[in-house]
Amino acid sequence: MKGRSVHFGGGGPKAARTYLFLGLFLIGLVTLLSLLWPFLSPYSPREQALDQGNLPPSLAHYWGTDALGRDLFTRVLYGARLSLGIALGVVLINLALGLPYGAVAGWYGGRVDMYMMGLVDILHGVPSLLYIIFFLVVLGPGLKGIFLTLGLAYWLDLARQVRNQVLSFREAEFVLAARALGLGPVSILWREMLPNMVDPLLVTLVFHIPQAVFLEAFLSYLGLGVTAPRASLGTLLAEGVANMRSAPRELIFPALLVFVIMLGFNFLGEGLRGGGPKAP
Amino acid sequence: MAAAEPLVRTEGLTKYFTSRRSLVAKLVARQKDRLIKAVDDVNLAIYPGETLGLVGESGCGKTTLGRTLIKLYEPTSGEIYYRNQLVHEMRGKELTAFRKEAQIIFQNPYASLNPRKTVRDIISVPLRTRGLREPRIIEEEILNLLHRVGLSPRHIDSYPHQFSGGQRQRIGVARALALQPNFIVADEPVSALDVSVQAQIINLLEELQEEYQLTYLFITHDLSVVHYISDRIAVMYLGHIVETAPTTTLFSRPLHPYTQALLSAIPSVDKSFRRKRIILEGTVPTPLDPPPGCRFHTRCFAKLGDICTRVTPSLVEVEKNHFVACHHFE
Repeated sequence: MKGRSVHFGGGGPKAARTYLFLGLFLIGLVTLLSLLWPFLSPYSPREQALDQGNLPPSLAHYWGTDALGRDLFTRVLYGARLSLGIALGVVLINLALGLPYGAVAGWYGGRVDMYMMGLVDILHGVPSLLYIIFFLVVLGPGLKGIFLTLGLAYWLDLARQVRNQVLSFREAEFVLAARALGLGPVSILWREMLPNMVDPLLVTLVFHIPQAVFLEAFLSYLGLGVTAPRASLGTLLAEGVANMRSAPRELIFPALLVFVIMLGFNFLGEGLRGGGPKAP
Repeated sequence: MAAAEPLVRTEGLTKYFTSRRSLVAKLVARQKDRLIKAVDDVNLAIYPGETLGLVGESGCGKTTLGRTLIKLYEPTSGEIYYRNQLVHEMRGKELTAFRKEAQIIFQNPYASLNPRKTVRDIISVPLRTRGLREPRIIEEEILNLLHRVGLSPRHIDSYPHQFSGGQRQRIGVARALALQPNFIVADEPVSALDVSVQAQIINLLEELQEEYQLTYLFITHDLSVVHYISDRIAVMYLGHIVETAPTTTLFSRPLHPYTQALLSAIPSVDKSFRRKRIILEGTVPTPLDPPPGCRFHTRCFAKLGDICTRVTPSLVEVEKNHFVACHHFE
């Protein structure tokens, strides 16, 4: 159930630059809106106004209101903030787990590498949805569970990638030179190898973000993620589906934002992959 | 020169790499892990202030030997002494002290410099190892080093890809020099460079040797380069040292058949200097399963017979400072 990233591929560095700017623009727009919504709208995302339920879009409520009279525009932006926060959290957990794990496996190689990567392969073989649901059942629905499970679901790819890179750099002459100069493993990994891995790692991370946003939306939609009255894009979608016939806009607007976020990050990833800055 | 204590000495130095078989190959075909005998039972002494040239064809173990000497690889067996201290048992502080003494210059100046680091970053690493902290002093020292290796001060914030091959090698030299070492392993430092640039780098290395009393292990496969720079030469074949002698002696009286064949391959313009070309049959056997006995017997044109295929000859001193490992001289 991972949102497979769409490939826009090809087109050379010029197209990549366009993707980069498009991606940055879309993500920047959504981020700004989701942070600045208190200034853009006088309504609270949680407070109900039952007499104002299900209003159509108007100048007072740009996107109308939901059944409980909450302003949809405000709710969607509020939800987007949570989704983006989750995306950021996933990236951080990814780095915190995948980076050291992969680095240790790649650095020591041999048997250590075999066992560590064997574990990764096994975990990779289990459908991620299975253990995500397992974790959520154990921890109960909620933000903590979402962060943890999404982090655990995506660090495997990163660990693998880091391990491959470290392994290939280990015999590089500039690393041998650093060893001859007396640098220890941590300095070599951090100061010599990491700067050379940033580009590909960034691309992987950026492609993970839309997957995580989508997965969070999906889990929340199933009722396993963020719980009411908190709103994420997923819970909004779930509510939207319930009222799809009477008020389709309640589904369309959150879906539109998920779409824009996914598109933005995929564009960004594509831009970084193809024509991003090579060696400085 | 030979009277002094050697600076670096090895005894029976051996470095094997393991070529692992897959589990399936081990279980089904009963194949075992194989050993690559890169360096096998090498006894070598390098004296203070000299340049020892180490020659041999690709894959004979020259680079492995050089890297093992400065503890980039752990030896499989045997001993390495640096000023009579055991190198491979050094840890912690002792090792840090040794790192300051023994440095390496790599063959490929495109691979030996981190592409993401500026010259300032690259050279400040060894300076910090040396204990310099103050940024101003570090910068001053970097500029000194750049000047010493013939680079302009304006290069300090450039990245490696902005330099030519020769300039990069100068950065590599500056980095090795930054620790003020005594012993430098120069691993084919000019093989990747144009001939005109080769001469510049070699001259630089010679000047530095004179200025700082450096000791070089100069690894190369280029006989004219080694003739020019070395005081003594060691010839390596498939992990074994087959002959060592002072440069002039080796070039005038090569004793080992392999050395003779090597020297006969040097092109010469002057007809009277031309040696009779010795063409060796076949190719170098793989160090995976090196032949028993004398490693060279599969291609030797002066084979004595059975003894060569069974017994490994050891180095014997035929004349003063001239050692050769061949059954002809035992």
